[in-house]
Amino acid sequence: MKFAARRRRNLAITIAVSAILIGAHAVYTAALRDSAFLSGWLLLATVLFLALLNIRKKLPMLPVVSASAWLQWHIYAGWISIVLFILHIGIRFPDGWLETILAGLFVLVVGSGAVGLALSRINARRLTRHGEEVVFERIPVFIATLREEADALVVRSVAEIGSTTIADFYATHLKAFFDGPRNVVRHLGQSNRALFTLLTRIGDIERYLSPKEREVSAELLDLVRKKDALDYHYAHQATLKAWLFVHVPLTYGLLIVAAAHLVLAYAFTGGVS
Amino acid sequence: MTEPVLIQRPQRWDAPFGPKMSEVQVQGVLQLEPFCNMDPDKFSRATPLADIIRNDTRIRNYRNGDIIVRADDYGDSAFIVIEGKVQVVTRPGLSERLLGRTTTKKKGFFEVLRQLWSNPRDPEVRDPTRYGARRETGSRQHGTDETHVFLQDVPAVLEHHRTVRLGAGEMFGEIAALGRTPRTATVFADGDVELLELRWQGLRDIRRRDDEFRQHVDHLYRERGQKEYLRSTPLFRGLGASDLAKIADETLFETYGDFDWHTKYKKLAEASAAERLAEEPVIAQEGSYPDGVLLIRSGFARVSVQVGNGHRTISYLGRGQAFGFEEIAHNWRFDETVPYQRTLRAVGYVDVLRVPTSIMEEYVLPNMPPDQLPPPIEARGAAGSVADVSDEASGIKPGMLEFLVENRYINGTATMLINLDRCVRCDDCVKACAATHGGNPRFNRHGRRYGRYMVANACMHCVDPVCMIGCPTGAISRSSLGGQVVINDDTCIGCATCANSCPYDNIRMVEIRNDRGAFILDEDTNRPIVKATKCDLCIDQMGGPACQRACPHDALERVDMRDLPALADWLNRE
Repeated sequence: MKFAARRRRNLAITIAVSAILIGAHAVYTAALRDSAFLSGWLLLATVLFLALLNIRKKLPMLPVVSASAWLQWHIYAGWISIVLFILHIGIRFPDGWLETILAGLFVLVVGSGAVGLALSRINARRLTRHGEEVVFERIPVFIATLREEADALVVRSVAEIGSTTIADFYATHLKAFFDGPRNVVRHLGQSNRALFTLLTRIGDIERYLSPKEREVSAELLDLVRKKDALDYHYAHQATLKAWLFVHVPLTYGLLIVAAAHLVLAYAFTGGVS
Repeated sequence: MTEPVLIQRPQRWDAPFGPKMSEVQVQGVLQLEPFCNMDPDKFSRATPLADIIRNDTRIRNYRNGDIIVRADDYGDSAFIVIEGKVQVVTRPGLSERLLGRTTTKKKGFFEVLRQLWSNPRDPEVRDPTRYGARRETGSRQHGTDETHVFLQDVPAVLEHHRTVRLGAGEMFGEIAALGRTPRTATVFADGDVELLELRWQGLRDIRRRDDEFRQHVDHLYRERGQKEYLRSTPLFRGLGASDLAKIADETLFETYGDFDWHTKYKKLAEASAAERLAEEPVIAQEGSYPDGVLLIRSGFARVSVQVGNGHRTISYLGRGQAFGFEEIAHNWRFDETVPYQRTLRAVGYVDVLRVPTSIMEEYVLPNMPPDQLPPPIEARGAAGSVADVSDEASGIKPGMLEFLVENRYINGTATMLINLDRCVRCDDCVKACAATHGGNPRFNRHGRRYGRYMVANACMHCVDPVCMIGCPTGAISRSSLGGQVVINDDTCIGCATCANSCPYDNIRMVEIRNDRGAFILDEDTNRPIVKATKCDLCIDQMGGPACQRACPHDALERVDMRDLPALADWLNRE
């Protein structure tokens, strides 16, 4: 099935389920029942189901539903949880401090999930279109290799040419650049200003270089471009990993506070349910 | 400018098959059946019979019980008994265990779950005690670099299995060697035996030059399954036994391409498209008279049309597929002489059955229901324009098709394709692979790319598994569970023959350790024991390939490249 067709189908199911939930909630309210318990339990069940994705990912050996099918359910159940959340608290700010924390956590979990989904689609495409494929864990090794090459090039230029112009320039403007991943935010913003600035600076010193030094400078320029490509991959791959460090812990936090909220809700229900 | 370096043009026999054959040995072999009956004058001056013997054969010695070839193994050579006798096991065949193969069973639910906590922390951990556990066979060193596996209890084998004894002058293994098909029987030495091993290039040349030998091979080929093959071909379905027999009698068996294509694969991958195409022998030429329907018996063939000064691949054909039927049917229906509309080339090595046009017109076309006849062919210009290049009926973009054919990824039955536009580089696939293989991932999420697709370095479980040629212990074989190419860790001796043969670099040699993380060493040399490892398509897991099931973004798929519609569907999901 094409992705667009799947998206349309899943969206239609989500809208239908949401409509049923809104209808059921309205009927429940019209019957003078406390609909907060209904929406609360449904919301908790949905959040628990959403949390199961992480467990499924930890058990790849089990012959259960594929991770991709599970992720689809996760995404659309996530949208349904927003409907349930609105049904549960209404269109208002929560009043108690516990409820405020709980609502805040929910918004953060949903928000980080939506951001993660967008990043998954955007960053993957950007990485595909930007140079060679690099394994994230290997990036520091590749950067170290480039740094060693750059250092060796500069040392060689001093030893063989007898001039410190390139070495001075390297120490002032390039050493820090080669020390580790740089310009993460700029790369995420698709800005190439940092690279442009470095290339311009390298161009600016050309007039002070001998022909032999210019050869060294050209090699250095090549290393700068390679390093910039690695930085681009680092920025996008790190972001793809980092959002989960927000989303997953917040989900566990949400479940803990939701459990406390459940206990308190029943403790102070006054026999109405 | 630097001066060019002059060398002698590389010749066919720069690398003989084995250690140099002495003149006495060559003359001795020429006195043996079937060579003594061959007319040396029929051989060309460039490839005389004596030189074929000198360069394409080698003397092999086996001791009592040594397994010479195993049933279902792939091989590229035939054997002639010089002295002694061999036993051919007919039925029942020897057990998988006796042949040194893995007898994998699916894990149960709790065994699968147990992997969660039982995987070792160190890489490539093995239990060293299990390597001595096999008792029905043993292995012994023969010379410096040969290992022979032998049957411990030959009388018991002879008692429980029917065998046929072959003596001096008799040949075996020629069909498997020429046809790139699995060996049909296991053969072992009955006492000390001296054999002449003849590699496929020599076999091919002898078959080409000697009528009697060709008739012998063709007769064997017809006897062993040609009729069954024709019957299973959709074109001939519904024909009576006598018609099929007549078609089989008239059908020509042809071979094209290079049996050792895998040895040139990496070099060719760096060549230009035109250079690669030039290396592929033409089986049928666009614009020439269609003298028969070509059935692919084994291997792959590229179907292309001329565009400008080059060729555009529009499809590829594998086992069981036919070429030229549309043209012949058109000419028969409309009494015209439309030539072949496409060119057919051998990609690697191809076996072809050529059913002559006259036979098609006499036996096949008149018996075919009109609704099964192909539509008429529209006239096509001499050479297409690059402006005409668009998605073919297969639904696969031309560039992608060229990429898959030129890199021979069409060989895969479970090629790992990754859509990089959807891959978030989370490595869940790699983690899943490690979790199901004792903590050791069996593939690299890295490989050649075309556009947004990557073919990862994972075993493709090839249709033509060249890795299986030459394994001395039979450790690498096709699984009886589902045809996956698997390695039996217990019988692998770490010779790296399979890893060196795999053109795609998908087999890794690893140094093994015990459960405390210490390297397991060879007691004689004190060097680490190595084993060949690769993707086994999670043959023992309940849910199939863990890598595919673990990908949350539908980015990874194990694709059977023989199923073009499924491949097109997957590629066009965006």
